[in-house]
Amino acid sequence: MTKVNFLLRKAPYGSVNDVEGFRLCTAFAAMEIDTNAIFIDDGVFVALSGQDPKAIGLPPVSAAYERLTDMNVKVFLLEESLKERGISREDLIGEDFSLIGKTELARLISESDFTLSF
Amino acid sequence: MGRLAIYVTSGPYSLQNSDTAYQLAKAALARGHEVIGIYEQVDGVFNLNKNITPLEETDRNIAKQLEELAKLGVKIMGCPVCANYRGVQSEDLLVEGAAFEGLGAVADLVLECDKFVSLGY
Repeated sequence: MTKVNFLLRKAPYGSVNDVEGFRLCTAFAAMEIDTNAIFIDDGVFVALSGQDPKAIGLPPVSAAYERLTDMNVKVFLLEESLKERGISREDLIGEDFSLIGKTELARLISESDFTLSF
Repeated sequence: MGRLAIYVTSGPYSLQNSDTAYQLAKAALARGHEVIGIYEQVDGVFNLNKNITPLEETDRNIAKQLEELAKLGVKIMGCPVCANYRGVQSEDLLVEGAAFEGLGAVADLVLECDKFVSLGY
């Protein structure tokens, strides 16, 4: 089975990267590609609970994030990135994710066929 | 020989991505590789607009470059949802040889290629 990683690096709302990454992620998973969504750097803000972007006229990115695991996408969050931003496990949405370190991130990348960066 | 697929998410004349996609595809074809497709998502759909007109005649025309690749057998595709969001949904505006295809087409490229080059922000 083809394995693809999506590296989601950008904070939600400031750019469309996460939303478009999710669309492609779920399209891949629907085609029976083994798909990982890996949140690093400011991308980890996507997993923060309590998002309310009504004031800026945007739908919450977190809704699409929460659907990833239902669509057979495995979700990983880089622990270093969370720590750097003062985000703890209790601040995060749901429990369908794995916290990984940089060694594990390197392993996921080396074991995949392709890694796409958003 | 290898099978190359290219994925672009930025528009024309802003970043080097559109130029890289063209030059890379041409270079790969010249070396006997197969370029199985170029997919334009997000602002990439603007690269497919046949009304693109550079100010200087000597400047490259990015839409024409994609048309040239289509004639060489490269499948040129754009995301219909991104086009709708940007008001460029008309098939009439597409360069010759290009078509709108859903994101499943990107999955097909990934499944069929040896190298997948992603050019974005």
